[in-house]
Amino acid sequence: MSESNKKISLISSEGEAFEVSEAVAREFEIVAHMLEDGCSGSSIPITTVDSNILGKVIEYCTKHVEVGNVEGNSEKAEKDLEEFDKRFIAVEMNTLFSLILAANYLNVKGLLNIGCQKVADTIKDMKPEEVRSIFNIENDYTPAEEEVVRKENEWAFQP
Amino acid sequence: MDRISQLPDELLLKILALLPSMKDVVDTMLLSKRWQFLWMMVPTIKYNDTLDSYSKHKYGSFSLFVDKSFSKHEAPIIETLLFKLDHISGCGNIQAWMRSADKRCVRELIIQIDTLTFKKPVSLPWSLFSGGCRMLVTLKLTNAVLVDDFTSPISFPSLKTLSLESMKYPSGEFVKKLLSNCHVLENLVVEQCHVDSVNIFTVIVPCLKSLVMKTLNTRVGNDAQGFVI
Repeated sequence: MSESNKKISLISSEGEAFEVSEAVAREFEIVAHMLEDGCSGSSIPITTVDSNILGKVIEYCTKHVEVGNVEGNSEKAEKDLEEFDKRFIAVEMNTLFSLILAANYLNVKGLLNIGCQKVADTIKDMKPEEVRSIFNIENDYTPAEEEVVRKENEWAFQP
Repeated sequence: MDRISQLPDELLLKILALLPSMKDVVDTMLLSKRWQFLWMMVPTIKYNDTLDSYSKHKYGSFSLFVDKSFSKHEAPIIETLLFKLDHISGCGNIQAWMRSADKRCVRELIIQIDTLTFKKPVSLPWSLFSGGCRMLVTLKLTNAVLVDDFTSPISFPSLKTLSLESMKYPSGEFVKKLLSNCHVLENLVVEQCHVDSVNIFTVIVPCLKSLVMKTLNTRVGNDAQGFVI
């Protein structure tokens, strides 16, 4: 198992190094591909992700690797992981979008999924005005334009 | 611009696809101009009528909503198309909807019918599946009556997962014929109800990896009942 003991440094946009096991680094598919392409360097720059977010993504991947390594994955372990995900993603909006963008760039599918799900769960069952205010979306329709959109799509917005 | 609207289309569509129903997706067109046409590209369409969002609406409008939103939808590939129907939505148009779906590339098709609230059983003529199923990878049907009206056998060249729950079939021979046209089927789930007129369920599928058979114990006793695998 010498492979999994290998350490890799991930360098954030501020130049801070995060040392992780190769197994954790491989959770970043972008890194896994680099390693497969023969990139043998032990430090990999992640220039688009800052230390705060990179630290969080590593925390997520470390937890998932740990649980994945346990033999005979029990239902309890799965439940714990679900709980972990729920707590992990309960962050303020700015952090949530940074995590989504980082997960997308680094190609960490599980994290991307829970991030997008969190946004979807926030939007659902809400009126457009409420969604706008939660996400600070500026309504750039003029009242007349919005009226036209509503009118043209009456089938969707019947009272 | 705000953080969410700055996300690339690809990510916004991923978020829209996770919304529980198409009504939620369509509503986002009102948020701002950035969102006006995005909903038309969502890869997952869920006409999930039993959700509260619809019951707030006056009826009649569900059929219109499906007709309009489906005809305006433009994504080249539909990963999932779900119809969950009950007495409020009605099923009158399911055949027309299926015909428009036929022209699209649908990977997963799910039709769930809440029979408890329907007076009459809902039937799905088998010929409805003749056009659009070439790309179909997953097909899940619940609580409908399949009607054998095909002249030439319909094949499902890509179908890997088939789930038939509480379905009624014209005959055991029909089931045999249906399954023999699923050449790459890997997963089959069958839940038989007590009046499906099929006593012997014949499964002859070369690539099958998993088979789940459930028979409700309310099924009328019959000596000739069983499975041939």
